Order: sequence, then structure tokens, then C-alpha cells
Amino acid sequence: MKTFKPRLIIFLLGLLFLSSCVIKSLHPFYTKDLIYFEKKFIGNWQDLENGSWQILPIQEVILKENKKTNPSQLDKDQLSIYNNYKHGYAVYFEKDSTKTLFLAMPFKIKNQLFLDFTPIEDSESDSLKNSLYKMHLIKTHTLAKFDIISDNEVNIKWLASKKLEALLNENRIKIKHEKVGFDETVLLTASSTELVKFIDKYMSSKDEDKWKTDVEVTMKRIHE
Amino acid sequence: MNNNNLKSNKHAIQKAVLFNGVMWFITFIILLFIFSEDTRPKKIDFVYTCSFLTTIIIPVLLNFYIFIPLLLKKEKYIFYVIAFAINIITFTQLNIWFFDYFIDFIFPDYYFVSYHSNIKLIFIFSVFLVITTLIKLSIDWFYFNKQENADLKQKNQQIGMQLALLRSQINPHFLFNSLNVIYALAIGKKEETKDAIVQLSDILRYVIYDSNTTRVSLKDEITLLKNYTEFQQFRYLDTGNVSFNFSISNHDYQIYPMLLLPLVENSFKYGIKGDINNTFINITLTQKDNLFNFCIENNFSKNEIEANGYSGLGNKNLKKNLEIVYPDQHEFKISKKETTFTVNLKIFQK
Repeated sequence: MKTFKPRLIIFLLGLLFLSSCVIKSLHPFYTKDLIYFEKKFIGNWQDLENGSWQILPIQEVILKENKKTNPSQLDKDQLSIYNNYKHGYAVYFEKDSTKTLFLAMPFKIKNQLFLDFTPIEDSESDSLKNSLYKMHLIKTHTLAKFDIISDNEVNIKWLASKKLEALLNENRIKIKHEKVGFDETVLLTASSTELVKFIDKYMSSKDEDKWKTDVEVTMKRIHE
Repeated sequence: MNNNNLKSNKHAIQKAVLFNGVMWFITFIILLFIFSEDTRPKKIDFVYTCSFLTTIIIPVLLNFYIFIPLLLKKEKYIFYVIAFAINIITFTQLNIWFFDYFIDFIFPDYYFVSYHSNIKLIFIFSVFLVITTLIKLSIDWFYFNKQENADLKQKNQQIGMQLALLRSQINPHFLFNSLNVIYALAIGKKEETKDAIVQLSDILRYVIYDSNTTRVSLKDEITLLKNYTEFQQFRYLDTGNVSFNFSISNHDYQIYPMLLLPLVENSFKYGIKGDINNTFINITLTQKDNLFNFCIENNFSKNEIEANGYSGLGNKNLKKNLEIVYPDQHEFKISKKETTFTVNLKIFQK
């Protein structure tokens, strides 16, 4: 027990640091009418901290995972997933010998591109955790501002949770949310329509540091 | 008059201010509770509720002070419904625009994200207008009812005063005629003078004490008429032929006091007292169930009528009395032939 306690505290502190960085939501940050597929993002990229990013159209991944060549060959459930996310990206992120897979849905509000990230389970990451552990997890969505600097360089900035927390503390925002977990992480429970409304208004904010964040990635294309 | 109008306007304005003050305060509390969604209201909730109230005040006041008085209260129901619908549609749309666009310009530092959807806002807006209309109508009805009761009391008081005035006119009129009769007997040093005085005293006792109620029994009223006709006959014994026939099924049938006496008085005045021969007065009184019928017929002197007119004060008072005490329950007919005059009074009490 004596050795366990400090470990738990360190783990919780780490969790606090990681989980409180970006805004998380139960619902996607986009509505279907805003989806905007940008081809330029497809390819292999490397960030400044040696992380590798492989971006694929999700539709290809769905067909490949199901060993089909055409969407018409998919069964009803698979086809529904395919249709819902066909304009999204499968984002493979590899760093420090770990590999994770995300679904990133691109959408545009007032000519600004955004990405809605949500983790997807794949066989590799699945094998790392037992089923009881996985039963306790729920996938959330995060919001990232997506800027294509050039054909070979993109920048992704996740919206920092401290911005939202400040608005909540100042009673300047009415948005459905819950505080969850040990660290009382703010989890947005507002509908996608409400989240879009929030992003729209937030974009007009006069706060010069509104996109300032601790979680920012600048990627450069890897030419093979 | 101007002072009264000013006072009344001031009172109406005070009432409207009080009504609106209370209503909007309660509305603010209720809406604040609705918009806060069971949590302790925050600064943003106050801002949102105030904004919502601002958008709803204009249509509600339009409804209260233009559509209801000019259309609904003037029974232009279809126009009112149309105006009400246009009012809701127009201001609901303005409300949606306000919360979609303008509120962000007015309050750029606030994020009104998770409030009600447009559909819910339309619902709240419509329900609010309907409820406030019902409240306004209820309150107006309350004041209207209060005013109507006050008017009714005043009217009753006026009727009471009018009846008292009419009765006070009958008594001296009757007394004046009666004293003339006794005077005539006294001048002639008639034996019957003392009997006449006793009879007059009976009549006056009835007039002064017994008739001072809203209704008397028909039996008492017949006794009065009998006393009166007999009393008058002291004077016109030799010249007049007076018959009084009655048939009544209920002696306790209630009737307004002193109703018939003026008719009998007039018959004596213009018939028997006139300058004609073979004068007569035929009185017939019947009562069965709710129907009362009184008919009096006499011949008359043309000269007397031309000089004074027949109706006189007695008939006028009687007509006024009947309109007040038996509205829509009586029939009063006067018919005049060449030599005879007939008055017929029917009362059909409901």
C-alpha cells in the first residue's frame, strides 16, 4: 500500500494534466451540413516532435477493414457507418512506439476549417487493455482548428479547455456540461447544433489568445 | 366633470401600472426559473431573461391595449383572432432573429448557447401571449363585474328614491281630494260627516302605515277601494251609480300598494263629479292564479276633460310605478269612446 499511494497520486496528477488540456464533448462539434472534405490533408506527415501521422480517407479504411471493394457490398450497419463518416479521415498517430487511431471529421464554419477528433479502437490498441477496462471508457470528441499553410504544411490547434472554464467561471456562457472524474474535467453535453453555435460565436470573440493552446501540432508532409 | 375625468384617468393609469408591474415581475421570476433550468440563476440567466422579456413586452402590450379593447371588446372576434395570430407570428419571428443575430451584437461577451431551441421559444412565446390574454380578460371581467354591481346598487337606490317620491306625491293628492269631500259634507251639515271622518281615518291609516311596504295583500287593497268608494259616495250619493264587483281566487295575492286608488280617484273626479246626468262607475276586479285584471269604466264630462285633461297626475304616476314595479309584466290600456272612459290594467306576475 505504501508504494501504491504515491503511484496513484502521480497517475491522477498526470491524468489531470492530460485530460484538462482540451475541450471534450459527448457529441460531435459539427452538424452534417457543415462537413467539408479537404483532399490536401491525405498523406503522411511528421510533426516537429517526431510524431508520425498517416492520414487516410476513412471510407477506404472501412472497406479495407471489412475486406470489401465497394460500399454496396457492406451490410446494413457497416453501410450506415460508411455513409455517416465517408467524408472523414482515419488518422494514425505514432509516437514513442505507441500507435493510436482517430476519426477526424473535417468541417467548415465561416470559411475556417475544423477537425472533430474522436478515438477509434483498432486491433493494436485493443490488445493493450483488457475488456473490463475498456467497458469503463467512453469516447469523447475534441475540437481542433485546422489550417492548411501550404500543400506540404498544416497546423492543428486543439481548443484549450481553460478558455471554456474561464467563461464558465465568469458566468458568461450558458452551455450544457458536466464536471466528471477525479479532476472534475468539463465534459460538454450540449447538442451538436449548440456546439456549432458556440464555435460560431467563439470565432467572433475579441480575445486575441482565443486559439492559444498547449496542444498544437504543425506537420510537414513526408514525400516518399 | 373635467376633474372627474382626470381622476378616473389617473386611477386607470395607476391600475394599469400596478397590473403590469406585478405581472411582469412574476413573469420575470417564472422565466428566470425556466431559463436557469433548476440551477441557481447566474448573471447570464438574468441577462437572457431580461432580453426575452424585452422581446415579449411589445406584443403583449399591443394585445392588451389595442387588440383587446378595439377588437375583442367590440365583439369583432374574427378580426381579433387574425390580429392575435399576426401578432404572435410577427413577434415570434422577431424574437428568433433577435436571439439568432442581435443578442450577440448587444452582448458580445456572453455565450447564449444552451437555451431553448427556436421551436421551444415559439411555444413559450405563444403560450405566454395566450396566458396573459386570459389573465387580462379575467382581471377586466373582475373590474367589470365590480362596476356592474356598483351600477346595479346605484340603480336600485335610484328606483327606491323614485318610488318613495311617487308615493309621497300620491298621499297629499289623495288627502287633498278627501278633505274636499269632508268639507262639502260639513258645509251641508250632513249626519254622515262623522262616519266619513272615520272612513277617511281608516283609509289614511292604510295609506300611512300599511301601504308602506313593497307588497300588500289584494284583500287589503280591496278594502281600501271599498272604503274609498263608500267615502266618495257620501258626496255623490244622489248623482252617481257606483258598482264594485270582484272575484279573487287568492286573498293573499300580493300587489304593489296604492296601485289602483289613483284610477278610482280619476273616475270620481272626471265622471261622477262632472256636469252630466246618470253618471256611473263600474269597477271589476278579478284574480286567478298569476293573472290579475282590473277594469274601471265611467262616463265623463267633455268640458271637464277639455279643461284639465284626463290623465292627470294620478295616471302619470301610475304608469311610472307600473314601469318600475312590474316591468314587462303588465298591460295598461286606456280607451275613450264618445261618452265613456275605460281603463284596463292586467298584471301577469311570473
